[in-house]
Amino acid sequence: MAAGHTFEPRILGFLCNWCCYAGADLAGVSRYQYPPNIRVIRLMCSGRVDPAFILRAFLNGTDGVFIGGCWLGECHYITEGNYDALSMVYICKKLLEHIGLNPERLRLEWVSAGEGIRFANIMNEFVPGIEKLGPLGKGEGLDEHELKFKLEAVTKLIPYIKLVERERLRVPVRTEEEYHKFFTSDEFNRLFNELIGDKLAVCQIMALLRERSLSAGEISEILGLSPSEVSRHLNVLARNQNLKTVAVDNDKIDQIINKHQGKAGSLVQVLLEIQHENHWLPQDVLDRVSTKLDVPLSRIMQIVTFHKTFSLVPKGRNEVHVCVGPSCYVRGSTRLLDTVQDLIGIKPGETDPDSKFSLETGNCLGCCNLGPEIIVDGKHHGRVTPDKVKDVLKNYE
Amino acid sequence: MPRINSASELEELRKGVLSKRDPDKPCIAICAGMGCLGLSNGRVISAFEKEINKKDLKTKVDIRATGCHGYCEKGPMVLIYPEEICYVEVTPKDVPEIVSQTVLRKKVIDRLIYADPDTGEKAAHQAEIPFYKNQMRHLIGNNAKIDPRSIDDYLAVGGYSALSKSLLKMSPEQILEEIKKAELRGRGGGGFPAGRKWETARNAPGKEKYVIVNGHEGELGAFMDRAILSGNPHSVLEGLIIGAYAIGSHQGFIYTRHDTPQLKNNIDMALTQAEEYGLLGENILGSGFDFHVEVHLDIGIFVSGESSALMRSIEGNPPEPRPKYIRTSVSGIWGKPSALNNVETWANVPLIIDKGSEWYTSTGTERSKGTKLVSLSGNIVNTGVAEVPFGTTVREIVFGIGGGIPNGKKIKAVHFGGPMGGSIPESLLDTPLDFDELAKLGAPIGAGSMLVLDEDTSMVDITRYFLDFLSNESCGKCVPCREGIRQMLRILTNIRDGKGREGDIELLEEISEVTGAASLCALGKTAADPLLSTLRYFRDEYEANIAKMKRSAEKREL
Amino acid sequence: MGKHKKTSEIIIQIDGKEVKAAEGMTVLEAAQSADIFIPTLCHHEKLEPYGACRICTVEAEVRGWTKFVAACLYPVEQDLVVRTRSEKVDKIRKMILEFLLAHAPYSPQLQDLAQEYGADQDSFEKESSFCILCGLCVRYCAEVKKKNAVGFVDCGARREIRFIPEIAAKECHSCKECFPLCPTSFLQAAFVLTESLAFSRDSSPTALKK
Repeated sequence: MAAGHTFEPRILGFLCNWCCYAGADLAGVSRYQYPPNIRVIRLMCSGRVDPAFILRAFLNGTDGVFIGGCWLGECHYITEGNYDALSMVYICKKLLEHIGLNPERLRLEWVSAGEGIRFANIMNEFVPGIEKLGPLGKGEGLDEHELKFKLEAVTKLIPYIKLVERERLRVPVRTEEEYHKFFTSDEFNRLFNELIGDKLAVCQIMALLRERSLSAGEISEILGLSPSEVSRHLNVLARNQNLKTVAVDNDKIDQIINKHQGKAGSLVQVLLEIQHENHWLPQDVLDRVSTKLDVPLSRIMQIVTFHKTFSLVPKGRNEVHVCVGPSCYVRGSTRLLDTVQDLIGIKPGETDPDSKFSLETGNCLGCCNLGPEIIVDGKHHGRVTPDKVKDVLKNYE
Repeated sequence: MPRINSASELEELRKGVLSKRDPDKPCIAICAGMGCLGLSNGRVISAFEKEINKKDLKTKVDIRATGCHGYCEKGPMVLIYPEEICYVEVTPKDVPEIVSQTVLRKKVIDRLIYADPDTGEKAAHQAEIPFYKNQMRHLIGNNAKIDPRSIDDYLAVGGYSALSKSLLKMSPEQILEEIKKAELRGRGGGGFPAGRKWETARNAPGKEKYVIVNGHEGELGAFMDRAILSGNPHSVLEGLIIGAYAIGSHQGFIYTRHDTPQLKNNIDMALTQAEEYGLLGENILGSGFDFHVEVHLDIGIFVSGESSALMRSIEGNPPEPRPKYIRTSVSGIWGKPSALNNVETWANVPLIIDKGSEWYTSTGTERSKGTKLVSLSGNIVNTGVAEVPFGTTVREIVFGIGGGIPNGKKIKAVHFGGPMGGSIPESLLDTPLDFDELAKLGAPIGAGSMLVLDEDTSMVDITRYFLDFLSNESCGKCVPCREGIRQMLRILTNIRDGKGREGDIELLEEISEVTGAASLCALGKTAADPLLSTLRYFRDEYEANIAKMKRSAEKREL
Repeated sequence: MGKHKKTSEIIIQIDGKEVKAAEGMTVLEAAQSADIFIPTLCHHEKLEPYGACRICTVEAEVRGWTKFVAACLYPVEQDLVVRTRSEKVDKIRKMILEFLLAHAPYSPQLQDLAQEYGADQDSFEKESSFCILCGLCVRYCAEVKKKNAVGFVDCGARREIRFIPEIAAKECHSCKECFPLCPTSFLQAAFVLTESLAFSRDSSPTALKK
């Protein structure tokens, strides 16, 4: 692109008072040459850098963030703040990667007060590197709106991420090798995905839905997630903030509630009937049930999440159950389930983006003579082999 | 409908019902049980209706959609009375021929009757089919004669005579005595003496008491309770009312599955009809005894079949078990004495009252009396529900009734009791069906599901399967159960996938010891039972899987 | 039945020591009254006994029968013999701790107990959730504060705690009394997560098109 020579990267530096700031000072005094793109914020310790600072910098158009601290073991405080900076940077890099930004835009280095030349060398390397990456977002192929949206989603999660870091992503032994070993391990990846990655996706979906009403298919396209992933996240989202419905027939709901009111355990019966009628349980309906039956919402939430009978998200037009009872299991239900998953592209508990199918595994319904069996919209199809299942499903629209 | 106010009015009504029935009038009884649902029995039924209408036979032939006949493998099954000709695997196409040949001309259609797959020997009547020949069908036998939606059908086979005898001729104490003498043991899994449970509830302080039918039937591969409850609901209801009278309860609950609409419909119908006749409600049969029943649907999770969880569910709470340091028969629903028994247990009650404890105890073994319903599934020729006297050997059930293993395979094991049960190997198949004998072998009878496993089954895999099920279907409240199952499942998955390590078996045993001792309810305490029983009989399979891993690891090191 | 109602005093034996207890007391209460320590995690004096963590498991001997019971729930009865430490009790507690340390290795409460019972925090593979599901927050909010802002969702191995956003947004900021009860600070994490996901400052309704 022709605009290359006009791009002057904006770099923000967070430098620790005791080492790196003094090092940078020395570089200046010693007249070492380095690109002047960096603006510096002096902190008492690199451990003071909050992930929110970094995200704010990027949100405000900074193209690269540099953090400079004392060498490990040389922190001026007994809390060894530079180790905190180290784990924070590992996590932030992972976050940047997760939202599609190049993690190279964030760099942490140890520079002592006497290493003016080292500071200059690092800058001589870092600034051109960023220059090569291009402006934030554009370099990664993200448009401005998308970039802002993603950074905001992460920012929202920062208080949570910090707690997770403290409780779950802590490295017990303070050596650089141990930190490196942990943060590049499979275990870290797994914990990150389960604890942060998934939440981030949910957070983004929530933000999208705040802007406008979208279908699962549209969400999948915007966020580049598979339909199966979107469906899984929607299930989680519905537990944090239920999805509102377009229109609920309140009279019908009231009728159901009144029918059971006053009877023992009416709550479960009411919920079962609404689920049966409506095929899912929207937030407004649960609120109504909670008020009318005078049962706390928390108890309702526990009951409706106790079993897959209930759904907090809209179900597909056709509900497919693959029986995974033991008799069906020994007769090959696993292969059958795999085939069904491949055919409709979703996993149990999920709904496809066109709302055509919802898939569930069903417990033994006692039709063991039919195993392996699938049940579509209450209709039993017995003795279904993987190659026969296509014929069964093609009859549903 | 007339309300019945005395024993004699009941007998008159019964006479009336019987007199209207011509024993020589043809009747087509079609199995409408769960197992036949997926075999399009609905289409068979409507084909018969159409055909009868077309031929203008409506007044001359009765059609009856009955409960489960038990032989699900060969469904839909059709019986033609009065000759009781039995046709198997009937399709709508066969219907015109059945009507014209069998119903009208009394001719047996050869291709529709049962033929033994091995010998080719044919059988035109249920009693001649090997599946039925070796059974003793005290509880389920009436299913084929009854439309579950007709109380008159139940009265026609002598229904509610035990209730009338109990309420009008016996004292609650006498009933308790009779049940105790019959040595009736709970059929839900525990095998606890029902009479003792009832007595505890009766003697517990407080006026309000509850009786409950546990029709949750969450045990995987068990489907005999729904065969009774949907096929002959009045027999369970009759038992429940008798029990309520003996205990001094005026409110009962029937707790059943929400995922089987047929169950709820048939129960609701039975309750309405019984109430109309005055067999339920205020002043039953003019005895002065009042009793009401509510149907409660479960939310379908396995743990909600545990008695204290079930009771919490009836209260409207999440189905989390409560520690039973005080028994539910003393403090159950809302802290009131609550006697809970399983469907089959209640269904035994009218039988005992009717025929007496002496008759009842003449069947069975020394400590397990009467008959037991079992459901056969897995790698077996004849899937279905069978009823046998206690003492029948497992081998007789699997081979005599079940027809053995399909595809020429050998049998490896029989798994009893679902996810909280255990397996016995081929070498122990001559063990008699008995609460205590099987428990001794680490495979308690449970509710009576028998999962037959052929030689190709990996016992490690099937054990993993049950733990996987429990990790989803337990409540997750207490640590030993929730975390113990999680860890055992993980280790078993590793072993199955060939990633097992030395010491894994010992670790599994250690975990199972802790979950068994420290869990809150029976689910957690017995969660490791399938594991322990397979370790007892099939330890070599675990060891072989782990050794394979070790060998390949050593190879890599070289 | 009800024979002991009047005679309220019951003598039981805990670790060889005679302890006087009143009818209706639990073993834990009796032990505490005699200054005998039994570890607990899900127990709180203001809350109904819950019996979830099972760390208070003790050996109880009644009429020659020995069983393992949760001290926080088990009612005292005449001639009950309780052993708060035994080889098996310690084994149970050790494993329960190891189960929980797979979730929350840095919980000070768990670490202290782990030292006592020799539990190894690396016995089992690490779990992502650092909640041990003691339910103190859920029960405190329901029983003491009567707000029900936080509850359990799901079952089995997937069980977790969740705030109800509508209630939490109104009630929690001024209360937060449950926060110090949490042995792992997961509660705080769950709260800030709810805050960032669901407390809508800008716009509220979220709708999913069909």
